[in-house]
Amino acid sequence: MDDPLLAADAADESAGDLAMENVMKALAISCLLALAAASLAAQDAAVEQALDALAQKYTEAWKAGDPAGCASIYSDDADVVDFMGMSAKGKAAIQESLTKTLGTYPGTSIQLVRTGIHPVSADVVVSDGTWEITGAAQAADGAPTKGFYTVVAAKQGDAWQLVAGRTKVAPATN
Amino acid sequence: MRRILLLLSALAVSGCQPAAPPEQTTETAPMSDEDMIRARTGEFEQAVSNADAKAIGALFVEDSDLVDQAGTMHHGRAAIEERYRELFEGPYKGAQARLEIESIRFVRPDIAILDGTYELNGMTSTDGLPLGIVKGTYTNISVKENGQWMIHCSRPMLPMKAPGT
Repeated sequence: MDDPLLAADAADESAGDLAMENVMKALAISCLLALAAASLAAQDAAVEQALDALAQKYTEAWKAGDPAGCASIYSDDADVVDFMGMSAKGKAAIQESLTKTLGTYPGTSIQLVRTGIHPVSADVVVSDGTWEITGAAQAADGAPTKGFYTVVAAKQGDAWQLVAGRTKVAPATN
Repeated sequence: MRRILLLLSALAVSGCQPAAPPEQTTETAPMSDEDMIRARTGEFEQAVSNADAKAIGALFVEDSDLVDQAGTMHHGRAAIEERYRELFEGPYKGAQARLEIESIRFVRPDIAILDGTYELNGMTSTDGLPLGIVKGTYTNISVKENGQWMIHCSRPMLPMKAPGT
């Protein structure tokens, strides 16, 4: 190795090996990141799908005037606070409250439009959106027909359920 | 002699030691999660009364969000701080806050849903007129990170009055 040319070759070879190793490491990290991103995307899609299914169940039950169907998307210990600040704790109380609500808006449909999902953990998400009631021929006097909602959904076993629901209406502007 | 034996027996039972005073300790019981959340709410109340947007931001996680009373989303700690900065320079200027917790529910050991009411006293309209006391409700979803409870989502609301009231 006294020959300077040989020494230079060896150094080049060593640098080349190092560069190749770095490229392989970078590729491996990129693959892992891509896999993680794909996994998260798949998880997000699954959550969105689950929330869409719950919303569909709710809107269909609403249209059918079925408070038990509407309440079925909630967990047994869920709670709801409506736009007047009234709360209902537990699925049975939620169903009772929905019976009154559906009585206020007979023969109507409700449209739910999700505006965002905020994952809090792998199995708890907060979802926000808007609600609008249409076809209200005779809604109770002064009852609002649109507003906002926030729900907290949690995965119980393999299924997603709502553990909390909050509705509000935009304050009147003068 | 019998008295002496009785005395000796009593001393033997007591270990021949005078009763030790209760152990003095400076350690305090660790705060429960509920107490920690209540303390955080106190910090929030103080930060609003001090018009300290930075202190409010510090109570939120980086990726938090706030949907305000009008339904507008503010996403991220910086945006929430900015929102409160605007409020403190506008309608909240000089206002004093009072927060009451109505319920704390743990949906997971490290995730809680907090419901409560708020009162803001001393708010002014854009015309500079006093607005009196403004009362509303709020729901926060808080998470425990590194031993600290932080707000992940905040949803304040001005409840609509029931028709006819």
